[in-house]
Amino acid sequence: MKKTLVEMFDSIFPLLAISGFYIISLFTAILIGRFDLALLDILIASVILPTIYWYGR
Amino acid sequence: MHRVNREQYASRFQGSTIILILIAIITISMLVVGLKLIPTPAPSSETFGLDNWILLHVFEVLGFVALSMSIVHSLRVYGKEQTIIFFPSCFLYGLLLELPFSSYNQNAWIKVGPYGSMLAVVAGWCVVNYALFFISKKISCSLSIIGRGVLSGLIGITIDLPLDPIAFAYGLWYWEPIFFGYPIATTFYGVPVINFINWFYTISLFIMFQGYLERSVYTLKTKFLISILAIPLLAVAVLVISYTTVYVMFLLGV
Repeated sequence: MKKTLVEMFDSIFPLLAISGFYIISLFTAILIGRFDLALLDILIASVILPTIYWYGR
Repeated sequence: MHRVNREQYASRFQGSTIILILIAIITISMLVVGLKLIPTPAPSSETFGLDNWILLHVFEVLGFVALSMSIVHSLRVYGKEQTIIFFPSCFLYGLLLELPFSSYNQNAWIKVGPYGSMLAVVAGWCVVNYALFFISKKISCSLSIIGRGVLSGLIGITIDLPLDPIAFAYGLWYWEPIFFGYPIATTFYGVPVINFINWFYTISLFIMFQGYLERSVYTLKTKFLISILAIPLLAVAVLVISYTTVYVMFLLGV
């Protein structure tokens, strides 16, 4: 179990780090009431993250 | 059978590299022209942020947590040698590029330099550069070092496109309408378009530099010394390219 988690960390951490930037931006945008920017964040992340994941497999 | 070694292969100017450079030029041009044609509202100072700065401190803590995790990941995946070459160099690079800016929110817990730049932003640069260094390598092992740099820079722009306008709207930092003495007319939700282009330059040059260093045959000590001593030159190169771009944009009226 521990070994699997460590292997998962090794393979997906950089993608998670990039996702973290989108996620913190999204939370901030929602909390300050800028839903236009939140939507922009979701749109860009929904294109970029799957693309990176797909080509990086 | 003709064979090329890794160094020759890495430095060869491949077709995919040329395509990536063209994509970068088209993307940046579209960004500049698109933002010139479609005005986006800048946040007014009255709507800046919340009354408290809890998100600012969350951002700071997460920056250092992510940096620690990146170092642990690098130690596990690349080993001690690559980690020693990458992170001190990247931290110094981020520090040199952030120190001249005086427009940071002064409520941050950890500040450095004469203008109170946020140290968490420097940590953020390390995380972004490391993640993109890893991802660009994983996406295509056959891509040249220049290609990896260009690809990383392009992904960098997409990270900053939502991040910077949101940070500006919250009040993490603000943007002056003047850059290197030239007025900046084209903005994206208040963020000058040159900032996104600078993200491309900053990330691309660093990933290329680290890529060449990684493939070089120097000893660890020499690689470490180069990784530190070349950083001021790299930072100056970014500033010179950025200045040239601002000047060209000023001449073109964008």
